[in-house]
Amino acid sequence: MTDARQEFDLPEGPQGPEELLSAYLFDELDAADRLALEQRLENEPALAERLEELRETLSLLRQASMDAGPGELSHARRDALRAEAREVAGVTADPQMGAILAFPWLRAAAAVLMVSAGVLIYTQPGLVMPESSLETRTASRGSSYDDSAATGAADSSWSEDASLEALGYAPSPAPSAENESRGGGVKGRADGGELAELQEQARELANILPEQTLDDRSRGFRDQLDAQVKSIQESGKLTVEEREALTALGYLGSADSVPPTEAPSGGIAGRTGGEAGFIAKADTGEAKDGAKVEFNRDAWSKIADRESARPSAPSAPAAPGTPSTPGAPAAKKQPEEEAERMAFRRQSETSSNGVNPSIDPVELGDVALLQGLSGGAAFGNFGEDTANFFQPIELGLLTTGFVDNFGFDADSAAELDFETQLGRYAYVQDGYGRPFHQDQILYHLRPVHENETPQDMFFRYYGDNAFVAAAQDNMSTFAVDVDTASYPLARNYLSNNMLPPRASVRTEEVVNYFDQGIAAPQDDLFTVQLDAAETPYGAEEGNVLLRVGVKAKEVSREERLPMNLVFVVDKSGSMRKQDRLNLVKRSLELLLDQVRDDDRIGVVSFDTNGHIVQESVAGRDRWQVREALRGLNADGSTNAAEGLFLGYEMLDRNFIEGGINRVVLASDGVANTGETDQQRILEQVADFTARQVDLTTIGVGMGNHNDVFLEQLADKGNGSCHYVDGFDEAKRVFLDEFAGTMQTIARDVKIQVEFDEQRVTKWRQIGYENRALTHEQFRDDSVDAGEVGAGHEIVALYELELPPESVEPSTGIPAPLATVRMRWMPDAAFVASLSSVQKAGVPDVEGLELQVVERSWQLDPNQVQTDWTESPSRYRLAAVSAQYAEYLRRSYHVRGDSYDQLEADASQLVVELGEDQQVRELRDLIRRTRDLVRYREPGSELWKLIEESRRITMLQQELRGKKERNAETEDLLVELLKQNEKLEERIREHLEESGK
Amino acid sequence: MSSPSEVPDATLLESFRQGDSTALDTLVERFQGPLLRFARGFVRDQGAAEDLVQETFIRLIRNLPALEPHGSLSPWLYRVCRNLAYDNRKMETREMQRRERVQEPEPAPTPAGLNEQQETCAILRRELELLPEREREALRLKVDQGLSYIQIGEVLGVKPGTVGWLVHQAMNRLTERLRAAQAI
Repeated sequence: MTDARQEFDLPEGPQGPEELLSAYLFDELDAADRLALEQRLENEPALAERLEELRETLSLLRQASMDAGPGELSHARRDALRAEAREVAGVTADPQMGAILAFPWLRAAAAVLMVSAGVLIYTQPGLVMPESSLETRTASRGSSYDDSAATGAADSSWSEDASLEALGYAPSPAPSAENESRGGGVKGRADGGELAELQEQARELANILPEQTLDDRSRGFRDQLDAQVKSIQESGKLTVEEREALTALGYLGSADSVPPTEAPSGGIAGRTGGEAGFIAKADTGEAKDGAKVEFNRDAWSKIADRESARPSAPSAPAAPGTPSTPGAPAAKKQPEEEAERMAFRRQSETSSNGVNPSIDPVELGDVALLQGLSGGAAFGNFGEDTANFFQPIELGLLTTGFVDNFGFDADSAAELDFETQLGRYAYVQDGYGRPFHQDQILYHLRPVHENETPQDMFFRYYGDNAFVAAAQDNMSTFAVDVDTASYPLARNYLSNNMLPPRASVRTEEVVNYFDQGIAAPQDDLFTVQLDAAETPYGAEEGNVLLRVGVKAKEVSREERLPMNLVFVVDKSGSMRKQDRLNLVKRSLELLLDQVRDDDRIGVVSFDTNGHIVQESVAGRDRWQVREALRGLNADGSTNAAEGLFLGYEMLDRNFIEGGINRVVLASDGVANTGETDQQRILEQVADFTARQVDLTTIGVGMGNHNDVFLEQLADKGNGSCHYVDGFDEAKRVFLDEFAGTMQTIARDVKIQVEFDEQRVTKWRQIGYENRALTHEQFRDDSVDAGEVGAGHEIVALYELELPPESVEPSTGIPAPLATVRMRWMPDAAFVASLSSVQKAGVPDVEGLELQVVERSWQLDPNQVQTDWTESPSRYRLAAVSAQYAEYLRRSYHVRGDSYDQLEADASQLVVELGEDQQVRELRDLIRRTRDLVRYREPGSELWKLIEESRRITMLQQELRGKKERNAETEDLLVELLKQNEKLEERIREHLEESGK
Repeated sequence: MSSPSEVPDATLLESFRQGDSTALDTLVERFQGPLLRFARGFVRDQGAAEDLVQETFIRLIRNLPALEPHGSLSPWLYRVCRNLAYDNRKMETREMQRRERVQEPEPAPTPAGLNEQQETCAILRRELELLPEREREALRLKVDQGLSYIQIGEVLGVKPGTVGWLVHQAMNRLTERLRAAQAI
């Protein structure tokens, strides 16, 4: 009871006569009181009259309450409740299914298990290293640890630095603090002083709310996995693949199938040799070596063991024929992470039999998780990769929408980006046996909310475009992409002290984000500007960077066509996190400000179901929409399909012939109820888009911004995809670039660049990896390509290798180095509006008749500038942003390039274009990235600080995501916020120090 | 408020806990109507009311293991529903207050052409909205939901005596208003 309520309580006692009247009416009087009152009523006509009045009021009230709305929940809601019951209470007819359904985790685990099975089989041929070679490598690595630990010398092979240096990243200093912490374990920690105190506080906080810590979740997952395995075993219904997978993992005895020692050694080596490794699948199967990922102890018990009071996680059921497991989780009592690592290393040193006892044999959970990561649906996207020594391996979980994928090169595990889930520490060894330590703390594998699948980041890595010899193919054809989502997304990661997953960075989107400074065309829909200069970022000295800059016609607010907009707002539970829904509301309110009186707007929301929040109204009544938006609250699961469908239907009802008809979908992307098959949703959308209904997608939130989904959706839906990481970005999308966002001026825009074989020996396109078309498709107008909005800029970059001097015959006009052809279909409605509204203003607009238009532009060889610093600032901005994006992608092509050069160029751009905040921001991000790479020296003071800060951030997010929040939670949040501020302060200090 | 022939709430809860999914259906059928009516007192449209009620049932499902109702489940459900409504509202409080300030002084126009009874209903509804929150809640729980003073006390977190006072205050105010409007 709150004070307010108590204050309201009246002392029990004699009631006034009038109060008795009401109680009498409602039959709340006991017999004695009633009798007494009835006697009074007989004697006091005034009282009786009053009673009659009250009675009349009551009867009116009852009448009034009769005509209310429907008294039943919709079927969909009833279904959702039943589903909830199944999830939470395990209510179901089939007990075994019930066990699975009861825990979303378990479903995932089951899925993972299936996947692992598949992967194991798949990886058998070719990819697997002989076990002995694994052991040799382990042994040699062990000795390397030995050296470093014994001498306390800097151990460059330990960290990623060697590779990072090769990449051009600055080498990080090997601070003495780090050696100390390695050598001294717990002692190193004590040196932390204030940090230790902060950490302690954070831990305390975490312990106050034990059910919210990851440890429990982690252990829970593991327990469930074990249970699941047991139930599979007991049910005895195993597919061949499952059986083999389980056998391989040591869960089944040799009698069941292949003896463990003979099982495919990737996943199995861990079981038999104590080497917790597995071979990740490489897409083409051509990889000579697989990469091996080891889990040092499993992530779960690792975290859990730090709280030594708790019982250790159950170990896997022992099976006959399986070696006993040395170093069981319970044996590890060291509460400190450093000590953990130390122990790992020491045991490595003392390992005499070639077996590394410190790495406990993989238990199912480990492998399942990692296998799951490797078994992603995102496989097979590396076809473009040609370099022999570049063997990308993509690890990423899949189906249930669980995880992010993360890719790395077999020859450089520095590429590895463990954006995964539970792994506290993973030890990674590459195909050449070089060990790497990965420090990403992985917090994500947990449901966002009980009936939602775990948050995930799901990106698809398309590889890098390779150099092409012009003699073989001198043309590049692609569909334009005006999206810019990738850059703000990366920015969001970086501001959270994380390097973005490589697959999330799409170079063309990063480049497109920046103002290219191209003058808008006056008398045509597009203009193309070509710039080229010798680039310092080239693979060879003297290589030329060509910028193909396209600018679309600009349209003012008054000029644009009337709009028919429907907002489709995701208000599922996950939208509550990080204030996502509020950001969406504010963003859409900005958009409302751009609405004209002759527009139409409506709002649909979706959670478990779709709802019509505000039927479409005329623009002058936009306040109604504003009100409706304010009323939205986040809850439920994510039924994007239903929301979209309602949105499209509403749009259809109010279709403006010859106007802009557009659905604006704002979501964090992970559909999990209703139609969740992205392909199906996309197909539904495709039906509408045939009727000139467009779609803009707005992604919010980092945790589960489902990038591929929203991008593809916008792509299929004739629109653009934006990622809004904050209000500033919202302003950019909805105010500054509103016309471009809303007013499509041309459709199916394609570009083809043809290089002169005599003047260009090799070329490669930077970015647009997933937008490539065949050359024939350029003139095939049935091929869907990109839509371009008013005022949009599109940039394509090419690196060209020119032949040695004097190829050019000195006579005559030089032939063009490159010819750029552009082909588009003008937007019918837009053109119609131009001809009617601007008849006088636009003299004889060529190409505005409704048929496909193709134009071409040429680059003369003498346009190529030899002095990089003399090239236009905005051109260099494109080059710098592209180079930076390539770094973030860990592109093969940036290897060996100087990061200093990049930083210096960015700084120079700030001098030249200082008034452009975005340029400053880019420079800052470039610096921050360097710092973040530097911090990755595990065990360094900075590393510890950042890790701690991340942990707190994650904890905050968890708390915020909690449904039940009370005053205590709020206090905790404030406390965590304060801590994080302190940490941030110290991090800044450190970065500044190390920057000197 | 269940009739004697009905399976008691507690029994249904227990079978639900045992894994009988039809028990949940029965519970939902039993309470959805009253809850929806109740929820509409807090929110503007049917959809939002359904949201509230759905979430209330979700809470029921999630709290199943801990739940031990003595008799009827309804006070618990109403309380949860009410809390949810308040939680939702908290975020918008400022906005709501501003809106209320704008709206309050403006008397709802009495629509012409309505018959007397409709008119009375319109007045009554408007007056209901103008009642102090707590009084309105108590009254609705009494009139719409038929809860006892004791049960209402459980929902609102006050003593039954206070409920009596709240209900009566509400009745009094409404009667006065109706009299002033010459509806009675």
